[in-house]
Parts: sequence; C-alpha cells; structure tokens
Amino acid sequence: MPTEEHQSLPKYDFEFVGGKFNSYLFQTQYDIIYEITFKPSGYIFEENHSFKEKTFEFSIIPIENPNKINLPLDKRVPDTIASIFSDFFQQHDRIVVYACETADNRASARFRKFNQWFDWYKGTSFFKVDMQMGNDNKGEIYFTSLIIKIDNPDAIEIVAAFRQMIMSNQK
Amino acid sequence: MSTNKNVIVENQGVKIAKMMLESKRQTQKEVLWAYENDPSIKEAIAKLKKRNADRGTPVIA
Repeated sequence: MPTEEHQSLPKYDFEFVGGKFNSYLFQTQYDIIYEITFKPSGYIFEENHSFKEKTFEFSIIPIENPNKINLPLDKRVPDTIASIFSDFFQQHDRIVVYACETADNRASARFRKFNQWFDWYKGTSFFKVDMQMGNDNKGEIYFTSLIIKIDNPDAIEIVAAFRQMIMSNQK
Repeated sequence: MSTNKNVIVENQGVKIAKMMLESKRQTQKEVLWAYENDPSIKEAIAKLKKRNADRGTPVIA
C-alpha cells in the first residue's frame, strides 16, 4: 500500500504470461511495452534450504519501443510494477532478489530509485534486506536486495541465509 | 627473474552479485529473443494491445 508521501495514480493494465520467467506485460501511454520477469534463482542459496525453490530474480525489461524514444519518467510505471509485485506475492512464501545493473556505472542511482520505489509501496506487508559489496578487481560496487513478505513463515531463516551467503568467505 | 602477479580473491558476496547480474543479462537476452520469436509472447502482447485499444487507454481505474 503506498505511503502518504506518494500519490498513487491509476495503473496500467497488465497481462500475466507465465512461462519460465513468470512474466508479466504492460503497455504504457507512450506505447512502450515492458516485460517484468521473476526468474527462478535458487542458486543463490545453499542446497539445504527449503526456500531455494521459492526464490526469484526480478527484472524490468522494455521489449517494445515503437517510437524509439528515451524511456520517459512515467509515474504510472512504478505503481503498475507494485501491482504486479502484489500479484506475484499472492503466494506469500515467495522470495524476490534484485541486482542493480553495473554496466553503465549507474548502479548506485538505480539502487536509490529502487529503494525509493520500495519505500513507497512496502506498506506493512513487505520487508527488504540490502547488501552492498565491493572490492573486486574493477573497484565496482554491487547492490543487491532481497524482498519477502513479513508473514513469510521462514523469514528469519531466509534473512540469515542471505546474509550468510553474502558474508561467507569475506576477506 | 620472478613475475609478480596480482592475485585477487573475490569474496563470496561479490561472486554471487556477479552471478545475479550475469543471470539478469541472460534473462534480458532470452526475453528479447522471445519477443521476436515466441508465439505465446506475441499472442499475449496482441491480447493486451487489443484490450487497451478497446478501452481507449492502457490505464485502468
């Protein structure tokens, strides 16, 4: 549910496609079509965790842009994605992970935007854990997040496993 | 004469973050391929567009 600071707008209609990425589609007023994917990503956890199979990696992919415009700031897009999240989380014990793309050096800006989006919509239902990591040979900083519903029965174990996964072998 | 090599040991977190990014890039490639080639995606897009056209807007109340 949006917080007081964010004025919610009517959303775009969306279509659940499913498939191997649990895809959703929506079209904007600028005729851009986005595909939202939740790809099974149990690999981030060790084998013994029962929630491995409930872990999905979230992506937002513009797939059609007939007017070849730069993607505009469109306030309905975050609202629509929040609705899609709610739909995906009808299975309460799902886990969503998100990694900010680093290829164009805008990872920290994406991370700020993602945090702002999450703060608008988390309401009292969702919980997020963020991890920032650096120190690779390119000096790159990586931003990853994990989102679960507060009523996830394995919440404590999931957060501990995510932290452990990130922190193990830390130099 | 010996050669000094920088041996960089990445921590587990960075490894996982890189795997997640690689997986995300792979997803993007597959999604864009499916957009061009997968009849079920084409059908879903056509269905969505028709609904939006019938309504006169992609926005729902």
